[in-house]
Amino acid sequence: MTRPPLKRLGAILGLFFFAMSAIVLRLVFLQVRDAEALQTRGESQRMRTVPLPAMRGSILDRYGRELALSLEAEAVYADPQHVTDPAAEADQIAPLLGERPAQIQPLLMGSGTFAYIARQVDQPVADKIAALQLPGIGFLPESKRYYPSGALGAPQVVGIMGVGPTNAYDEPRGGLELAYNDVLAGTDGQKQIEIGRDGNPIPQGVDIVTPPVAGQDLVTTIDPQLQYQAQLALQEAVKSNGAKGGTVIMMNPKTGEVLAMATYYPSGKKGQASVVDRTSNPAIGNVYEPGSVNKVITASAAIEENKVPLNEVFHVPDTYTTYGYQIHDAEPHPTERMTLGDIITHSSNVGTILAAQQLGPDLLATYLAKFGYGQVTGIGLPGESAGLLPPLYSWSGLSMANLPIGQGVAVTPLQMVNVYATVADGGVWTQPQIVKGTVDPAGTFHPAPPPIQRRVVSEATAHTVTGMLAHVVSSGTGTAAEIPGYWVAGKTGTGKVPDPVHGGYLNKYVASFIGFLPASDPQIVIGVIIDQPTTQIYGGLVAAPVFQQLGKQAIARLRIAPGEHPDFPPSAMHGR
Amino acid sequence: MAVVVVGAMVFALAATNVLLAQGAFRIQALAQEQEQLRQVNGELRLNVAGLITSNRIAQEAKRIGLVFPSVIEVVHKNGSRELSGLPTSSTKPPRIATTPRSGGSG
Repeated sequence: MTRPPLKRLGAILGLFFFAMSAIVLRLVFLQVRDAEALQTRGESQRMRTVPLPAMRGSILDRYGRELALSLEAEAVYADPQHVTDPAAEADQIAPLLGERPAQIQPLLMGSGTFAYIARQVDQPVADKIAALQLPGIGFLPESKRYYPSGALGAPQVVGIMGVGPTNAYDEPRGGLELAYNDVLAGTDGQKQIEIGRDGNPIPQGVDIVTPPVAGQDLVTTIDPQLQYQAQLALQEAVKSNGAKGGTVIMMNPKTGEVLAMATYYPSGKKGQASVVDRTSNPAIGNVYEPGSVNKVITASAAIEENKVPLNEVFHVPDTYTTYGYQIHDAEPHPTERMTLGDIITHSSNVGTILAAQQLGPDLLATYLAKFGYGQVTGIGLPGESAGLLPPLYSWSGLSMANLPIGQGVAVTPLQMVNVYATVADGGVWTQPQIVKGTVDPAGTFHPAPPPIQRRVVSEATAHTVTGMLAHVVSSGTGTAAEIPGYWVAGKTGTGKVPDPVHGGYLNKYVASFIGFLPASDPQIVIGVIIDQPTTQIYGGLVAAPVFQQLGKQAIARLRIAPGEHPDFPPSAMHGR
Repeated sequence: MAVVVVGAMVFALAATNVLLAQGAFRIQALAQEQEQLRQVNGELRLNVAGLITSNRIAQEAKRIGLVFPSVIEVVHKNGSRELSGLPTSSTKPPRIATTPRSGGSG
């Protein structure tokens, strides 16, 4: 009988025990010490987070029609490590994307694991590519922005989405898209899924969806038909007058709602289609010296402060000399007897300067500021300029000859139109409005806060000035704006363009006409500003006819009834 | 007896499973249909937005020979009617010069 091999058994047992201890120790390391790190590592290999972009809200006109809308689209990407035949796949994908295979193929041959092939691909096209079931080709949900009205649908007001400063693909760049991005964008969601080694989701695996919250719709004050007519008339006027560009603004004076805001500055070479710049808005961002349309402020201040009685007769020559400079009226004339009403009606520079001298610089500066010069209107669009109103302490001796007639001061078209809206609304300045409110994803309308208002001149003063402006159209410099059957109030302007290099002024002009109708109960204010026309230069010849055309459109569109005869001011020239 | 009970339970379990599977398939089909309808809705929205643009309507109106009314008729509350806004150019020439002078607004 042999003895059991105790030593060997003991050795084997010890070895076994040692091995088991090592395994247990390793398990403790894996399951306890490194458990969290390993779990995280495993999850990072298995879990995929797919962003679910929120659908961007639409931008609507005042009737709820879409000026900008987003639709679902797909980003098509490639994982070159899984692409088996780059040339063949490029040949199949390229025609569907409207590209050449040579453009696609390099993207399928990269060394990385992800490369965009195309962004914002329409869903039907993405579906066709998906149906090819090409290895290494994937899709990510995103949205695509559309602007159905194109260049005739308030492009500078709406703005655009595009490649922005941070190089992100879809950033708001200008207009309401930028100003109201927080409202429109919504909140992106995400989907977490567990995938296997083959890249497909694991059945019964993790599938957590955080749904996106859609953005709100933005309801603007834009009337699409007036906007279209304004844009069309402006383009025609700019072309026919050989102008650099122009702006048209149509506004409801009682509410401050902007019904149309059109700008047209053709770019590109002659014969080529003009590219619309949606990222800047000259109606609020460009400033110009307004010229005679500014005289309405001088007259309003003089009347409000009782500095110039309406029946006071000025003896007005056609030239005024101060500090060695001569300022002329637009046409030569002998010294004429003029009331303030005559001065405005015939847009006499010299007469306006004489009236302003009775007003004095302090009050003129006060009223220029009260009418909104030197301050942004706060319409809520990006890039608004405050214009340039020289502070009173910096005024020179020439200032009282320049500022009353609208030179030496710079305003935006919107500021200037708002001055006339103030007169039209009985002397109350109303902050211009471009947004009526928002509509949340549940469909509830949230109105925008009411506009800021302030009284600038009394109702009586506004009424008197309106009579003067009606006389301008009836028998003054603005007869081309006359609409038979209606009393139109308005003023012409022909402002000189400053020379930024040498100082002084260029031999170029900004022609404008700003007015409202009907004079006795204004329903709409229309401002037409034509920048540097070359065929004619006067506002009464270049801009007033555009006002007339748009005024007729507005009458028909808004069903404006003719009003009462306005009270014309006393006139020395017309024997009243 | 026990065999019958167990058999019934197994059958009930299988039937429940089948019903659940059918429900799952139905939910998936409805989700797909919802997705398709959402896409169609989006395309229709874009289509409608394009069709109602003033530019398209104006072009279409021009194509079929429509013009803006030459006369605007205003009907007052008292029943009287007025023809207004005749789209004719003003006959009064502006009382301003046609060439600029220095210093000049107008």
